[in-house]
Amino acid sequence: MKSIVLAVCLLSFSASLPAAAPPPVVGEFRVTIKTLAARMKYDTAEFIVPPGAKVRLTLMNDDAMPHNLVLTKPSADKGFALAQAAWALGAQGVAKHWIPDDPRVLVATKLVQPKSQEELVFEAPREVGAYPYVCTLPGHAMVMNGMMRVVSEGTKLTDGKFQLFTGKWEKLPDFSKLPPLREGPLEENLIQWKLDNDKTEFGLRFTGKLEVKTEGEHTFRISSDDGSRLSIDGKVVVNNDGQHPADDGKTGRVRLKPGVHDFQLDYFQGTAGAELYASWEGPGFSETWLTKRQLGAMPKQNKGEANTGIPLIVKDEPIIYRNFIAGVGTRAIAVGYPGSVNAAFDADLCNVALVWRGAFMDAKRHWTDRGDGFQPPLGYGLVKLDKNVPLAVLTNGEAAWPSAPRDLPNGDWPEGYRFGGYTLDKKGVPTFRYTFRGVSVEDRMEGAAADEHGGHDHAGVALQRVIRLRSKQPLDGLHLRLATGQRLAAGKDGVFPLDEDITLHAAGGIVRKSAGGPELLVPVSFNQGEARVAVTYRWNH
Amino acid sequence: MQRIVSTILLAAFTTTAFAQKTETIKAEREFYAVTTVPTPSEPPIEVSGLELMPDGKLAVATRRGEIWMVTNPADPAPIWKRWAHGLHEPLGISFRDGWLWATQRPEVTRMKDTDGDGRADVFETVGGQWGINGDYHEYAFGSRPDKDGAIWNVLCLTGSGSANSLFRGWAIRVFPDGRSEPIASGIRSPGGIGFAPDGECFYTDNQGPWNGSSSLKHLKVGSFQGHPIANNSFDTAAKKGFSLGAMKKRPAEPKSGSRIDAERATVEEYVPPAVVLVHGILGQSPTGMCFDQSGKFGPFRGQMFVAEQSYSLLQRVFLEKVNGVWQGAAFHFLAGFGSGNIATLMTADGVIYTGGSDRGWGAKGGKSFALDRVAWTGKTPFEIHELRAKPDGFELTFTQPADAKTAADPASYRAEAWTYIYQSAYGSPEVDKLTPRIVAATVGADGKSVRLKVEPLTKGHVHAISAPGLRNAEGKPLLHATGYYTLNEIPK
Repeated sequence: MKSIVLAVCLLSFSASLPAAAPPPVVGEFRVTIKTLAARMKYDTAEFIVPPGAKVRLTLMNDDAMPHNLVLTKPSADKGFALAQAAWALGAQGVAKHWIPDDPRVLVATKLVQPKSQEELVFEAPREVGAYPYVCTLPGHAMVMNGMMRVVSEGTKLTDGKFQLFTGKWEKLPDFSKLPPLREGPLEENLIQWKLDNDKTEFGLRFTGKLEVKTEGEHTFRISSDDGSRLSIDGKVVVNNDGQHPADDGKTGRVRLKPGVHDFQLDYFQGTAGAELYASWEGPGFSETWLTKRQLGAMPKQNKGEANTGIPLIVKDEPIIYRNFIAGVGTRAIAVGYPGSVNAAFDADLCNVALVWRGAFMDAKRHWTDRGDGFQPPLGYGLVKLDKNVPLAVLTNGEAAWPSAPRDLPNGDWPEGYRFGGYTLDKKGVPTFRYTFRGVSVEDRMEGAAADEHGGHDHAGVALQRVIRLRSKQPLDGLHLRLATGQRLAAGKDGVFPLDEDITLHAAGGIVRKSAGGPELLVPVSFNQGEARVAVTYRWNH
Repeated sequence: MQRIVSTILLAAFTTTAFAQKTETIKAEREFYAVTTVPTPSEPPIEVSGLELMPDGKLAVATRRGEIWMVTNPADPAPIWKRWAHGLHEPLGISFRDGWLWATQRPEVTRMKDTDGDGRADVFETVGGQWGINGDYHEYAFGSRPDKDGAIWNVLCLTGSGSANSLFRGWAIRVFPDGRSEPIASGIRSPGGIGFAPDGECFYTDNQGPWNGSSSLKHLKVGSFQGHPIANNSFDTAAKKGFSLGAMKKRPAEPKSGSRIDAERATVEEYVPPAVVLVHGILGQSPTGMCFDQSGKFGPFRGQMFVAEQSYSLLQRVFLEKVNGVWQGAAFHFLAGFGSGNIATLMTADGVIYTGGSDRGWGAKGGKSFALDRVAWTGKTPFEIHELRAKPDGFELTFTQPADAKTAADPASYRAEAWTYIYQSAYGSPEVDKLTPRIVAATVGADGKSVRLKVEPLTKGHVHAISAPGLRNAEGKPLLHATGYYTLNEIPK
């Protein structure tokens, strides 16, 4: 692994520095940027350094082709025009490492060969701003790019907590008078929430501690859809209440002494869009985001998608999402049903793998860039069902259920099964179809009818599943296995608790012991060539 | 989400060695008009498949798994209606026997709207006995149905360079009854697949390991296409009892660092790339293809058009069979499309629809996604019509009579030849370069052809044959002066 240290002394900026320019920071900022193998992408889209900091940047090329990294002066085009200038070097390009003689170049690596690396040591600009970096090999910059942000950052929240409320409001209510539906610690101490499928009529109270380093006037900004209100030490600093879209937001100023202060942000959502952004800035630091999503990080027209993912919102008809879902085999078909219930079907195993409630799915991972990886469901109350086939012929009471296939991607497909796809009824509800040893099976799920609260989020939300089987020949010993594992409890009258989250209702179900733990089986008996098994998955709370 | 980065399209390219000058793009538009088909404001229409339905609607598949039906696609305000959603990356759709067929990542599917409400309600899994493990690069591109109604599918390698799932790097034919039949191996990273009018199958493969340059390849049944890492599926399939279909035996391993022409002798099943789509000149990421059989798309009836994602253009390809091997020439044709072209369709009326996106791989066009329409203006460009190999050189035919003086002068022509290292490392520079001499130029009786005597001819090399000095009867030069011929075989 070659390691070439280039000590580059940067920066004569013709622009004058702002009057309150912070002093250079002592110490070194190290950042390693890798190129992702076969992806033509840096693994780092952005890194932040204080003004004037000594930066040690290592470019590690894990890809099979050469790349470079060129840091440029701020520009609206993310460095693309400079990359075009490099492309125009033509036949001279390779000899020049695809670096044009151009004043926009701040510092650059040479062409770094596969499995090699190069180190750049330089002083970050004193001027706060966004400095693009790109790979200038022809055609690469459009996907191989990133941003070095020179930012003086303030502190973030500590001891963050959230409380979730449901209700229909036109202005912020007094949350202290309402019982929260859920509450808990704030993940990453960054204000955020998991999108709920009914994405309407809810409110949140976020609290935490904020440490002020330097005495002086601090500016808080909140932008929200719908209303929000921010308080420090119990006093309202910014009031952005009411039903409205998230625009540039409102700001408020407050003079704060050094020390730890109480932070509270109240927010409510009516209908349609749900967004919340909050930031603060003060003496010695620039706008620092307290929310996970940042306003203005993307151009305005992309604001919705970039900042809130690409959630698939289920309305009157189910949404089908066939892709790589975390917790399901690779031939996964996820369905979000009206009524805030969802399921994922595994087309290799011909079985339901997951059920969950609340929001359905965020498609951003798969519909952005090259769309890599397995996407976990949104919402909550996720229950992992069996990762095995649904039907088997058991010759006697002790016969073991077939073991789960070990290597589906390399052809360990379960014997006797043939997935046939699905049909949609007039409401768009899918019925999955497959055959097992001459038996035709139809497997259909649907959300249970909404309760009188409008189905938002109450005990009793359920998913109903009906499995119809048809066979010209009787298949003795045919059983359906609905659940397995230590969490399954023996039930009675067809009611089987699966774990604290969910209860299965299956008439005719029997729990038997097996090597892998208790199993919930339903014997399948045909009447004039037909059989029907109904299962309800009911969330406990 | 339309992102129009105008600086990319209009940047000045200073050498002719790559890409197309803006002046050439303007000149091309005199003969072929390119219009943008308006798309809905939401969602993004990242075109991944195109088909013309019997009722005249244009079916458009997208990378987000949707299928839309477009009424009056040639109108300024076409009507878009969503017909299906929830597919896993459909790459290739076609209509046959009342069904809309699609190849998705996990399977070949056929779909129907049985209740006539304008939305598909049957999604039948036909088959597709191949492995997928979650790696994003394991794409599956599907052809139209062949004469037996079977769909030919080419399966991209895991991560574009490994074969970690069953039959990655293979071509699998799926019959309407669900049977899967392996038909070829050695594929690396395909971008599209299609049938020539005579029923032969071709696909595009991208530059990378064992692929010095992107190429158009002949998907001959039983062949090895160049990348040996997928050979492990021979053993896996045998162990698990899967039929090997048309694949008789595991091919010998080619030697890395050699040349395609040399390794043809080592690997008996090896079919060399038919037409090298010269890297950095014609593009770097070829995708779908279509043929003109209408005769209404200008003078190129019977020829092939290959879409290019990275350079946002269409190339033209002329194919011929020499000593039983497919080969031929590629030409620049039309540049300046809106986004990265992925899918391409030629209608019976002689109109090309092409579209795609730049998501994940960047494209010159600048738009995040686009659907464009190409129609012949009625004016015939002065182009090399056909470029054929001869025992002692090449024969060029032209779309218009050439000026006798310039056509007969050997100095009007140039030749360059090179090849690529056939190796396990990524791509290859152009190597073994030489500059053949144009010894003689004999013009045909009608003035529309010239026979060039070229020395030497090197078997296995790409021969770039240019005619910069050639003029037509009106004194105009060729619109595109160079044809890039892949000389797998020299005619006897």
